[in-house]
Amino acid sequence: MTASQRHRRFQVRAVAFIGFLLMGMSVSGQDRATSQEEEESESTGPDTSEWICEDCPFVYGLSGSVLLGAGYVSDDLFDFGNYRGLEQEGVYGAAGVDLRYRTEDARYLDLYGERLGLDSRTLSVEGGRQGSYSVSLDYDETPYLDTSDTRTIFEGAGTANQTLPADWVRGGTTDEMTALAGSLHGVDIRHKRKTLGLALEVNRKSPWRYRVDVQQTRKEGNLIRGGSFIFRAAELASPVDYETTRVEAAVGYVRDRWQLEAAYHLSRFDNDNRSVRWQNPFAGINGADLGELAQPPENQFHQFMLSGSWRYSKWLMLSGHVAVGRSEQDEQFLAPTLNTSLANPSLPRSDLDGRVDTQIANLRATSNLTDRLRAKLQFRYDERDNKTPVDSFVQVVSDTFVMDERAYEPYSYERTSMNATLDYRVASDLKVTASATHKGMERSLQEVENTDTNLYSFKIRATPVSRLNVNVKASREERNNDLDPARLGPQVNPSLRRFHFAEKDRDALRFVADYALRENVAASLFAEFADEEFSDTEIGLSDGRARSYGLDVSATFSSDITAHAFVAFESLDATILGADNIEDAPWEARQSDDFRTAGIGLNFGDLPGKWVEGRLDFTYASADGDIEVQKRGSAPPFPTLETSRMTLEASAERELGERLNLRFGYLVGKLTEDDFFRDDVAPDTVPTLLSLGQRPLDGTVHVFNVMLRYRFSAD
Amino acid sequence: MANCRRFFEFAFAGVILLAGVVGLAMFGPVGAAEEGEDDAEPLPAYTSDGADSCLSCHGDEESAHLMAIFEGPHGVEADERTPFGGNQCEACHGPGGDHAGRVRFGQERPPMPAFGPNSPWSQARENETCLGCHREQQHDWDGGVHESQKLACTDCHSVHTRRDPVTVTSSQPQVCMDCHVEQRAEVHRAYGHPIRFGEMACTDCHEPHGGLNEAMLDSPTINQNCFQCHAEMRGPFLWEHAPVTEDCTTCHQPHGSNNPDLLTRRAPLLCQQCHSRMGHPSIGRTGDDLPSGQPSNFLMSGSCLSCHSQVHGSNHPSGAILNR
Repeated sequence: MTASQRHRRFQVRAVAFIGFLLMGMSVSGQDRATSQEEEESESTGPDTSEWICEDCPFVYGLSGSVLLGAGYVSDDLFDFGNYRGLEQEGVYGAAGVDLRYRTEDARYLDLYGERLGLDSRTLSVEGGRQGSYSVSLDYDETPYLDTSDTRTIFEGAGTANQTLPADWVRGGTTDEMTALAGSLHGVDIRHKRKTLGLALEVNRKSPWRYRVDVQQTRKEGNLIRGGSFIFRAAELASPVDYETTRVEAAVGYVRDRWQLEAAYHLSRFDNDNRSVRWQNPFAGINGADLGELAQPPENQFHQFMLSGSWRYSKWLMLSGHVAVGRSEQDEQFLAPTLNTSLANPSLPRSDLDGRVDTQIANLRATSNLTDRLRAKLQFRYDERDNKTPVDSFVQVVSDTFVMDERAYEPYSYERTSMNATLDYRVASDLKVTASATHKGMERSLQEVENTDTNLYSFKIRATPVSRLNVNVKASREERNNDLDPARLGPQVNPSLRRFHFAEKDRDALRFVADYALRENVAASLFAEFADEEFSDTEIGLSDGRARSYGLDVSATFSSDITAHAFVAFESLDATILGADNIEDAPWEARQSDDFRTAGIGLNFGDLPGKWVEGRLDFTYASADGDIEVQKRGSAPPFPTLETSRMTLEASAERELGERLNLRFGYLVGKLTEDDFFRDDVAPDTVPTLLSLGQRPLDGTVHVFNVMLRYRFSAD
Repeated sequence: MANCRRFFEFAFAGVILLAGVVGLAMFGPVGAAEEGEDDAEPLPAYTSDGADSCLSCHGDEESAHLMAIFEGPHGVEADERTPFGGNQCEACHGPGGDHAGRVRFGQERPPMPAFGPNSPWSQARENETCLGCHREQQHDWDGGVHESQKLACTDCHSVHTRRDPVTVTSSQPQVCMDCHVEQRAEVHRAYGHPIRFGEMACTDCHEPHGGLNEAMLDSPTINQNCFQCHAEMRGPFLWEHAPVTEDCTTCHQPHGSNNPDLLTRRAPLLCQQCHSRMGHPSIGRTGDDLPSGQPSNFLMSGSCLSCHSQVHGSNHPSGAILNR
């Protein structure tokens, strides 16, 4: 479709839509006698001077509970401990706290913590005077545990300087590294986030609002990063010593019908390491014995945002925000190469002096045009303007060859989106929604500079019979672009269409039905189908398909006993087309992922005897991934990628005394994974890759804990 | 530029539409809104003794769970903004004179106007009650997705509790995923953010009170949202990977994935969706490249990322191909 055709289509659609709205305007309704004044004439309320509330059990003093005990983990399983902090066999301390101290004049101090004995602990302290101000201090740890069975040859693994063992024997391939087996030692791949936050909020009996949030996150540990020298690579345990500081300060003014807020946001990233150096374990070409990977550079982002809303009446509501921001990065450049046998090219300047300006505007108008018709208009604008100075840099590829210079490419873009939505209540049990969205994107320095996307959807919400609600939504998305294949470059397949801006049609249908089987039992069924086709693509992602189905059932047996169960299936299929050579040798890859998820939960708020609460949760999730590649000749198929996670968690609490409870907890997790990309890849399996040798994941872990809960009562 | 022209045309059309809506709303003859219908009903009288009237019946063992409100922020007498600093139970439930009044033998007791069994107030009016105090939340609520879908504040929030579960990181996802069942399935996938472990809440990324941003995100753009925690990816880098600057979700599935690092698919196919360059990037990898055949570093372990490990961008002067 040409630009002029698209333009004409847009005009037709815009005119039709405006006409539709104007027709809506002519719909005669009752004269709107109820206006602002009427809404404002609220009841003055009762005289509460005699309402002493002597039966109200106000809580002053200390209340809440403290949990303290011990737990036991049955086995070492790194992946099971991921995010939980339960990776090691043995005993751990189990603790939690939920305490509140409150005075009659609304002053309070709140202490809340979970998993305090584990590496996944979280603790929050908040104090202040309710209705005046609050100060809070939050601390949170999150462990990320990737793998524990990895092995490396590098001395100083996980640091910024990784060297080979003294007796290392370099080789062209891993089988020539004769000292490999004797040099391997274990290295865990893990890091942890520690976040400390301080927040202050002033919320007095005044329209003015003030808040300041400061948050600092330290991320320490390592992660896997590849270091390469011309088709030879080694997996490194690369250090992570990051610190991110976020500050948000805002002042707001809130009235009944409108409010404004001005906010400043700062995000600053600091990195203790500028680079990772590693000695080449392979026999280097041209003296390439030492490499250096740049670490993420220190940077900062500032943004000012003005947001507001105005509620003229129920018939007109406006809200929006505008923001201007700037990202800056001026970390000193590393040397182009560490290879002393090569001429080290000079740099055009010592740092990037990177600067990206951003502008954002999001605006929304909502109106109840009649008692049946509601309209909503939304506009979004997002600009990234890269103002970094452009220079050229001589490339020393893999510290091995000095190549031509490459010019810096300051990517910029401008994104706009406009949406109009109409809701029409046909009858009390039938509502329809029509929506049209146009998205435009203009980007620089790529083969597609402009994309236009139109998205239409139509939704029906109906209650065909009592206790049954049905939602059906159909949508279509069409994306066009102004591709210039010449910009792909001389060595790139001219038929390549990158999927994120390729011409695309996408159709989707979603169906949800909620049915109250009985007064205390409800079921919900959903199904969603989506097909997308990249009509112009001969090389690249050419089509995709998604199917998902699910059923939920929930039941309330009494005010204290509830149950729920769910099951969901999803399949994702995609076709990727390629060609070994630019001219010929095509291949086709099909990737299919199937997901299955199920769960059952039971909650007991009150149990017979002295048992006060109980909970049972079972979750099962598994997935298969099949990749099939068809090309000339025959090749063995890829094995299926499989993951399976099963978790059963149960807890019960029994009263021991007036203030003392005993809590039992049990958790079992069973994890299996078949991943042919990583399984059976020992450090020397791939001749040109010195890997860390991750091993297949498989294991079952049981966790038991027993805790005493001491309850503080304010009376 | 053509796109610029189209933008102004859209902006022009938008201004016309907006003017139409505003004009209609301010001056047009429109009917009473649905939400306004129950506003017209005369209010019953308030009780004579406030909460004491209520607790004379609801202070029994059966209603014990309701007393948790006195441990929470709504049950603070000294804070005039809270129900118990003002109209007590009737601040939220509406005037209870009829409900608490005498009824004849066999006569059904009239319900409380709001937040109770058979309460006559509409969900919208009940929400107005909440928003009457929580005015900051009203900023984006009107016209937001949840408001448009007629959600009640109490669909997510619990008032008669010591601590509202939706405000606690570990318990919030369960509340959200009662409705967002597809996301619930996604977060249980093998690789994901630590939502199911209670280490991350939905509101760490989303603004459920009707945020104006795409997908009701907390930040104005997807990437800004991700950079809140992943600031190391922000750059700007000397050598940027263009799709990264545009949208993290081009390659990542934030709710969960079957692939490490929440990738939408595995490398090399992930990369070959966009890269078909002369030489090794364009070659379709097969079972021949497995350890059972001729194991290739173009397929195994990190695949493309074993060499091009700086896929989010590199600040190394020689890192144009994202390998330094």
